[in-house]
Amino acid sequence: MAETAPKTEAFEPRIVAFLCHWCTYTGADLAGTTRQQYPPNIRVVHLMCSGAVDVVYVLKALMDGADGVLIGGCHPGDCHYESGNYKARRRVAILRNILGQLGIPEDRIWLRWISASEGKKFAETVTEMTEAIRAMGPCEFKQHWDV
Amino acid sequence: MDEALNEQTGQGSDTALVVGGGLAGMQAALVLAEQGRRVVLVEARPALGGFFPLLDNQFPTQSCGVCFMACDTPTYCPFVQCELHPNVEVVTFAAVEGVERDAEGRFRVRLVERPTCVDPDACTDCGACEEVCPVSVPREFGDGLETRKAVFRYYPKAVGKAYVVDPDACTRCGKCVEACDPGAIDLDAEPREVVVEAGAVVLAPGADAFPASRREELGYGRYPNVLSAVRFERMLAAGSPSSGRPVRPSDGRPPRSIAFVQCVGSRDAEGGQGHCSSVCCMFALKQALFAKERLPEAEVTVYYMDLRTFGKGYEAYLRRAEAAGIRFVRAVPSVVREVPGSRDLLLQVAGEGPASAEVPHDLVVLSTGFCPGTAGQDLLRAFGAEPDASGFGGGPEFEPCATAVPGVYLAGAFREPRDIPESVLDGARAAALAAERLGAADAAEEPRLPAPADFRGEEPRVAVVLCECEGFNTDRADFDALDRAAREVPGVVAVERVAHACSRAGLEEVRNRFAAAEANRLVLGACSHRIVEQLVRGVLRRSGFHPGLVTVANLREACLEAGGGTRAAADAVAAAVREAWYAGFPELRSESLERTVLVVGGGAAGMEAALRLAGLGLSVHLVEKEPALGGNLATSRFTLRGGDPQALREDLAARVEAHPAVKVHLGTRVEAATGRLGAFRSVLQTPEGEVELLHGAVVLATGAREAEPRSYGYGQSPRIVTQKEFEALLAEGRVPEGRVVMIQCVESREEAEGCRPWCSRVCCTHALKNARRLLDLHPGAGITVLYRDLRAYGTYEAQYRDARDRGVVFVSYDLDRRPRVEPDGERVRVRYIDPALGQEVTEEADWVVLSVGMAPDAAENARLADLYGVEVDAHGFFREKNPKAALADATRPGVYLAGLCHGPKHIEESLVHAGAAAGRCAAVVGRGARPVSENVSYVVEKICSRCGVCVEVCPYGARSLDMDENVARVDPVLCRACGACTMACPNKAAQQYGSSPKQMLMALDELLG
Repeated sequence: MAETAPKTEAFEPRIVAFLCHWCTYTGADLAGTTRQQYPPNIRVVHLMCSGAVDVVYVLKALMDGADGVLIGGCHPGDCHYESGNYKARRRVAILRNILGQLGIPEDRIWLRWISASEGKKFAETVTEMTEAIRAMGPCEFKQHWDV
Repeated sequence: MDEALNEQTGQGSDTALVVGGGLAGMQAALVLAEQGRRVVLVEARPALGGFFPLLDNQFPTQSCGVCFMACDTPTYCPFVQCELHPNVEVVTFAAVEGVERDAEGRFRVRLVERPTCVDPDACTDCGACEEVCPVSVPREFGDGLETRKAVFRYYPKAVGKAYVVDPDACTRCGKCVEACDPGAIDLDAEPREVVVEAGAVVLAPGADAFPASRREELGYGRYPNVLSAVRFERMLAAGSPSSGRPVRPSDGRPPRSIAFVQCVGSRDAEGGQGHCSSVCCMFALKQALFAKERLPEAEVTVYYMDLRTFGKGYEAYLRRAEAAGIRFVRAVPSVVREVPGSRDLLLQVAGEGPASAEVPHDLVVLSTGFCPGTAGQDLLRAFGAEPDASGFGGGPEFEPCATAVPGVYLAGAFREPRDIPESVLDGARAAALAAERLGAADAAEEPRLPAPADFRGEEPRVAVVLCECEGFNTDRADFDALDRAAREVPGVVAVERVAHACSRAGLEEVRNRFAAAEANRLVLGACSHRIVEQLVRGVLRRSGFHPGLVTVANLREACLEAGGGTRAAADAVAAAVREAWYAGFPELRSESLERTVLVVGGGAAGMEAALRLAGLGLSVHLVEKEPALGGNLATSRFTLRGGDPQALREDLAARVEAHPAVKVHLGTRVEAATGRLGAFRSVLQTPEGEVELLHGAVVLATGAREAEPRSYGYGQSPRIVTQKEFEALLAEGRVPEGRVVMIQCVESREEAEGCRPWCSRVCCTHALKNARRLLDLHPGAGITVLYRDLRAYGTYEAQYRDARDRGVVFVSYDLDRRPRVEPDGERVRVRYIDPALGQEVTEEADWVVLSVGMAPDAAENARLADLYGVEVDAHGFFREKNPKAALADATRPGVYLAGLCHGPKHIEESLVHAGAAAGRCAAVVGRGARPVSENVSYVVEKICSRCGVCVEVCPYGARSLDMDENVARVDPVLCRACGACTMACPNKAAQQYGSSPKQMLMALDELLG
């Protein structure tokens, strides 16, 4: 297990990113190889398709202490599995309805279409999201369930 | 061709050489490789890709999709697939220097590989050399929009270690050599000679982009705000300096008024560019649409001669551009001047009318087309063939992709200007021809590997191997801390380090460390899954281990390159250990596929598909509903390029009927069908009774017909005929001298009820061929062609020019002022507006000939689509799997398309389509078996409630319900491992190897631990 982060005053958001193998994960690779810097607050989970991101995984990430969740998939029409990204879109729409009931602001969950050639967009998205979540402060969901 | 081919088939040499690593060449390489052939793929530039890496988005999909070029499941970008494919050897930065052809027709080709000066095995891609290089020159990728160093990556997405030193720009200052930690740079590296023995050669050198500076009067190179199409394309890419926003290079501000100037370097015989480049109208529309989308306030104008949107779905794209507010002006700007100070531009525009004016714009994009390129011409000559009169490769009309030299095939934009879909089809057909020449396919047996050890049931013992990446990773993370952190993760029995995991030696080192640790799971902390996962899994598999033992932790791209540091890397390793712990192990097996193919339709496409499939060693059943083979060929009498369709029909029919591997069923229709890729079962209703057939794939080639006109007085006078009827009259010499008026786009390209909204592609050339034949018969004949856009694309432009030179009058008309036709006894009166005069003109014609376009047999296509589980589009044509990269595949695995049933085509284009369908089909079913994916989904039977949701969501029809056992079943041949079923199943009875819920949830615990 990693060394635990020292307790500091400043809040550092923790973001889990579920990335589809073919587009956004490859875009993240390109962000790396083209040396686009972005905040170190993100932890990447590699999946074959954004359509394979279970709502439970998102909730689990939040319950484990994530402050935000990014789901990255192929642009509409580009899914390697025909319609996985549309399934992800519908699933996220449903998830947003549930989040309110759980007291989680829905904009802690971001769904973005980022292609294999959009390394810059990936880096920008992570930067933008980190700042947005930082402004929102820590997600209290984990605390609520820490009984 | 085939007789010559069979006589001279090279024996023993099973390698194909593919020259040119653009999309056509990569498709040829992949189709050959998937058929089990060894391929050497040579590219002149430092990286594979051709024009493709420039294009972030493509028409008409506004996205990409070239991953669908893979014959089976789409996987990576084709250049990654070529690099990874075990049957493909890629040689970049290399040129053909000498060709010898022996008596058996085999080739001995000498290649010279230029030195990149950067050793790819040592380079870690860290970029330190590029940072210190003091040189700055314009970057050729993107036509100089950006600058680059003397040591550089050819383009950002170039695969692997793509650094190269440009010897012309390098000042030999040595700074890069000093900066390179692994010592990968050698500025004195020598060229390397490679000799390839090949039984067949595919040449796909591509065409060059026309250098815009050759049209000096348009200001490119002098005025910063005049861009070439290539430069503007680069500007629109997400990774461009302006992040894809159009800006004026002079001041960086967004333009208010963008002008696209068409036909720069095209349709210009005086300028030595007599051809139409075929692609510029479409890419200009695409660029215009993106410009408009990103700058909604900007005015966007396209100046054109004819809008040539003749491909499938392209007419709808033109409507979309019109709806987006893009302005179209039928006029060609002759001169561009710059306004001093503002650096705005003034375009001298001469319209069809007498007036000419100077129109201001503040950004001008020149739609630069293709040049054949001397490199391609020299290459063709080196192999003993000659380019055609246009300077392009050309070749025989009815043997597309063949050359005068047996065993040498031609594909892509060098053969004739063409866009991506057609280049990809070309590549697949050329591969089919090359594979046929190489001889019987079943030689390529998979190496038999022992049953792999998967340590099922043992307590997991995880070995973690960390890649230092020659200092790249160790510079960015504290590896000692990483090592300690990894040892603390439960289940880890060893933590090892290697210097460079992805090199050949490094991969063996990884395997040795894993074996020495006596572990039963391996976590490799290295770079992207994309790069290293298949490599390390392959090494383990070949050493007798199950590839499912391996889990990759992406330290480099996902953590260290982005600045994540040790903490992020440690979390990634810990998460991977958890994933490895809960890994599952599918049975690694192949499912057998029937090596018989059913071809439905006995026209040119169906017969050609049957012959090519049979040539690739498959058994074929060819079904034709009529009592004779031929389809539309039966009523085709001559072509614009001088071919004899009757001779083609007789030749194809004779060869199909004589071929021992082809069984022809005339007067037959497919009554019923079930099954899937590898095992279809079809019932044929033949005149002799029902025949049941087991086959692995089906090629649909049901054709289309010239539509029957309902307007312009058709049927009211024998002197009002269709082009096809007129062709027959001409062939029989029954047209006396007189005046002829042809009307184009009759009920085509219109949304109105009963019309065909698509462009039928062949009618303009049909009109040209009939007009020229009439002039051959009666040189004094008066011919007027009333058209909307004259679509004589590619080298057909030469015949269009010839028709004009010989006195055919071409007059454009608009839909709101269409011609009127009045039958009057033996003559027909035609009234139309002449735009040059702005007045109505009346002609007394002896014949009025209507170009009506093509329509599919929508009802029959819908019936067949239903039988085989594929889709038809709104017009009744079969829908392709992907409109860019898989036009010969229907929307379901194992079903292929050939010819007019997919969309209008010329005869030669149908032959290309059929050859491509055969090549891709043979690449899948020809091997007789298909390996099951490592990530295949499965059913946990005890909790499956047989609700059927998984069956509904599976996009591949891989799931079904077993009513006897009361569970869902997975067909592993069809499963593409997308995971849709695992998400849909309410009980989690649908699971998938490699990403089970347990693996995911445990990994999350570690990531957030």
